[in-house]
Amino acid sequence: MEEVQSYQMNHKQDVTPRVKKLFDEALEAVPSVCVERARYWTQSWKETEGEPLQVRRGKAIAKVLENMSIYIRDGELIVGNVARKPRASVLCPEYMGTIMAKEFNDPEKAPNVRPFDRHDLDFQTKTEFIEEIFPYWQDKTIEYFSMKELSKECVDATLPSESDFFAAPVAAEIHLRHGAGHLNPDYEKVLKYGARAVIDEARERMEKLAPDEDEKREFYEAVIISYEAFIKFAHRYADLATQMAEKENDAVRKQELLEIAKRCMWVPENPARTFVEAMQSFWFLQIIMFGIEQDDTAISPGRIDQYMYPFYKADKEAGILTDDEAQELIELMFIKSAHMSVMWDCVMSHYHAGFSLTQTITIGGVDENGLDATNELSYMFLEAEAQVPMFQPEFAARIHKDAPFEYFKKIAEVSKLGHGKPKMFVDETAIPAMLKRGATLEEARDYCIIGCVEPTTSKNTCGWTNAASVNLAKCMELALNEGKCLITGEQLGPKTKDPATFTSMNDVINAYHEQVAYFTKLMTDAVSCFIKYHGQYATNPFTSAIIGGCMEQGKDMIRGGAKYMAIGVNGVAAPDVGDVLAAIDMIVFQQKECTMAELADALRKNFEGYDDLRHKLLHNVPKYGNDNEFVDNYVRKAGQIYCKEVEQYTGPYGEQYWGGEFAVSSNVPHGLVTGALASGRKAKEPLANGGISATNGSDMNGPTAVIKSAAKVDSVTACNGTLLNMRFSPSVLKEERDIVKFANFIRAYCLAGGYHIQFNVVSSDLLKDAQKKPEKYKNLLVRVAGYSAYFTELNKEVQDDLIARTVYDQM
Amino acid sequence: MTENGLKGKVFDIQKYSIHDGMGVRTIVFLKGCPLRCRWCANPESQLDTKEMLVSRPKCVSCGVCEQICSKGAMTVDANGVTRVSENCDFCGECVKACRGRGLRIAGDEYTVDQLMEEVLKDEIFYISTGGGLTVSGGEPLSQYEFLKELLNRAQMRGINTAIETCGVAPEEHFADILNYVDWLLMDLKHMDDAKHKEWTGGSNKVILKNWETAAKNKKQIICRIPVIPGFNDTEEEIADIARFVSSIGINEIHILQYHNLGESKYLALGRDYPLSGVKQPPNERMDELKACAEKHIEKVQIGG
Repeated sequence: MEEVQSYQMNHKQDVTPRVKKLFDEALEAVPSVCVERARYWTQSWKETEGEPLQVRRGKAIAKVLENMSIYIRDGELIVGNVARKPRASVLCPEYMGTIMAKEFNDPEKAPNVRPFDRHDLDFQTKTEFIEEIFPYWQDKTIEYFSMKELSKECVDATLPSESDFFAAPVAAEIHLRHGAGHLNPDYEKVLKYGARAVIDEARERMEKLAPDEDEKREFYEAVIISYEAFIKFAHRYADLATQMAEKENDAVRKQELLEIAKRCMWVPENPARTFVEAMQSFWFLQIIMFGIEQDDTAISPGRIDQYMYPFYKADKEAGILTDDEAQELIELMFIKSAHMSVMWDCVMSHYHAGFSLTQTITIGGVDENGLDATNELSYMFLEAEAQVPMFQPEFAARIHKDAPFEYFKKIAEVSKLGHGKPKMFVDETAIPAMLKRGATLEEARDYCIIGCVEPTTSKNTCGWTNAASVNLAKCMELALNEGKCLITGEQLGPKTKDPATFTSMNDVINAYHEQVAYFTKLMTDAVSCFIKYHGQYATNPFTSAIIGGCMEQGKDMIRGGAKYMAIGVNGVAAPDVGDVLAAIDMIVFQQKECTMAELADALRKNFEGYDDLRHKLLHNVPKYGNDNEFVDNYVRKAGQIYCKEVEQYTGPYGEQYWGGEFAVSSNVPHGLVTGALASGRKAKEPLANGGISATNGSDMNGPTAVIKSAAKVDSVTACNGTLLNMRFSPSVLKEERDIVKFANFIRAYCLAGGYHIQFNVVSSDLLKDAQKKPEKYKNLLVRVAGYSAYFTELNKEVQDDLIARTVYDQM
Repeated sequence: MTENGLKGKVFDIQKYSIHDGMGVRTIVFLKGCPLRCRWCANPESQLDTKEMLVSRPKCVSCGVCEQICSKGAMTVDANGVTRVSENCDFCGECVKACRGRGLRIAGDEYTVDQLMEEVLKDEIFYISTGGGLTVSGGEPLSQYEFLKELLNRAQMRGINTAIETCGVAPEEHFADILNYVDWLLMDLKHMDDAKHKEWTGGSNKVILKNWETAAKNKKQIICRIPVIPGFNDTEEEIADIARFVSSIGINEIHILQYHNLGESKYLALGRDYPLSGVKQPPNERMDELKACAEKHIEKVQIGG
């Protein structure tokens, strides 16, 4: 959840009592572990031994949906739960069984005691897992098979939790221990045609198969089984709602429950006829795909303002839905999305800190013809974000230079509230990136966002978009130390040339390239291995039925059935590498203030005894984030080298690997294992956050310079996405006229050629922290009319005053 | 474009400025000012020569500046820098070497080409927000020749121009500069000459004349009044100003709330802050003064 800050505190929530109640309750929910999916999945697995894998997956889904606890909260209109209570994480043993069997018994790593993303874990649940579930899965998990196959060299380089080295430059664990999320399915297919139509389609296609087309037959059978169970699952809610209605004394609520009952009998089986039916059908789909079938996050709703719009419009024209009612339903859906949860293993929870679920909705942008597609719902979704600020859903707003001013203004108003949402994506950059990935022009224009920042075609890509991260700064470190870790001396990478022999920047860059190439190969070896076993042991028939291409081909998406198959892997800390290259170029080769040998020695010693040199590297070289061509070019180059390496590889089912430049929260754990850098950074300090944000404190020329620098990163080549975080003081957005300027400033980003941008509007609490630790906040922007804008330059008395005044002051 | 060797003395360039004219702007602050307003928040703007600022909070008393200075200009003791002598020729070596990053030289020289290069970096923001270049200071008209060249070049390049001026300048210079200014942001601090002299060090006579010139020749003018406790923070004094500008056809006033965010810079320059201990006028008071001005002027805004 976002930190408390002034505009958010002063914002008067304008919601219905129903929403207020459910919102308050949702904020009270505490993460816990739920055993039910695991329990029923395991039971089913035992019962179906010997049957074809795909069918077993379908039957397991059915078993869970028949038996899991369901509930309807008081006041809910949209119903459907994935676990036995809000924010309970579903633990899927086929993915997590191996690691969790260890961690549950570990006094430091168990979910209820570990340092990150703690979960309540009651004794009964824990016992059931340890005694009845984990033992059965020990020789059946993706991890079990993968670890038997991977070489030690690969494990040491790519799996921090398993590596014998101090530093693993790659973090590739996610699909070792989690399913296949990170995609945008075709919700609209079920909303428009109904689940029954999916079943009918599967049957028709199955009938046309040749006798020897067993694999396809099994796929269709799994689809049929899981979608029949899906329909019955909804009926269970209908029964429950009817029972609750019988006991309900309040006449209004009684009527609502009866309507819920009718609704759950109709959808998802049949085409949705109204907006509320569409929202209900949508929600049922979400909980099956994220939690029941598999446990990976970023099952992203995509362009929800587009596919919900026909339902909204028809209802409005028929006079059966008011805008207030539609607004309420959207807010209720937001609250439901905040009931979801995820459990990462202990190490991964450091790399994806804060329960990052990233169920990303996408609004706005252009349509297939390249014309603006914002509609009334686009604004209502933005309004919902303003009214019910929670950690979910994630919220992407597509922008382009011709988007309406009112749209930019609404985005500015919501940004002001300081939730860090929405995040903006520029069509002018994203569409070329999609074309690079092979999409048609219409598909490229119809892109949506997965998870953090990954662009995808809507409805027909299986993209594994966050499959691994490569620590590019570590590669740079190794390049200056013959492949040896600066911190431990271990030989992590190839023995590149002794830096003392480097005579030009080409030598430096070649060594970096060699390290990157080595770790990229090992990364793809690991990820491809995991995905191979997913295809063999953990297909996703339910989701595949609504990923374009799979039904046509009779092939599960995991096995390559989707129209577009891709794997997204991210380079972390390109800004740090760029700063390093600029520093070496300027200090060593141009100004000759030291030799390469001296620099290499200084890095080995973590700058002990090299105070002067460190100072020069840190302060006398331009840094990324200041609109300086010299260093910005190096940042671009550092990322391009990585992305071009990545593109050479394909996965086990023909997936194309694509590179991105974003870090989630991994800049911290990657930083902890990275030694000193020639940019002046000392060992173990965090690397640049976000992806292409400036290293903390390096951006000294304000937001326009940061944007200009970020726009020089090649976000088309880095077509798995790049990420730019920016921080503003609330005073920048205080008056109406400031909001107007901010809105147009966001539009400028479309002209600048950037890809993604996201704003944090700082709080007084943050300013207080900035007082205590000014070195962390050197670039904190505080706008003053006629006065230089850095908060940390002010004396304490004024800072105190400012902290007290920030909320009200016109600065 | 020919380079005629003209250089401007600049003490700051501030991008993403949103309170100094329309849209998002870049402000170029010229060094040197004929006035010495007691509340000045940019004391390093007043002299037209270079000056060294020593940030007391950042000084770590390491003595590197003293060691590295080839002119013996720096003296450091256990409490930090104690003196920067006249020997200092502003070579900047100490600034580069300062471990606390606490030294700053105010006053760089720029050619018009160099400034335009900086200003043009944010051109897309000007386009999308209706912004541009604002020249402030100090007093921009104190470098009239340079200012004229800079503004002219910006206009020829399609960049919207604005200046923030106190109005103290020879009448011919002022009248001429108006030809190169799209938006004029000009102060009028007090109608009473004696009080004006007492608090700013200068008379308001030429300011009032230049106001009349401005009103005759320009449409896009904003009158700015910094509201300073004890100086002009009464209804009567604000009304006097409003009445005057209204009489010459001005229709927009921005009243600016006094703040002491510049105080640390006085310390950094080794100077006393004239308004030490003075409190900012409360928001309610600003609202009252706004209402008072609104009796005479159509558009009154608090802040820039």
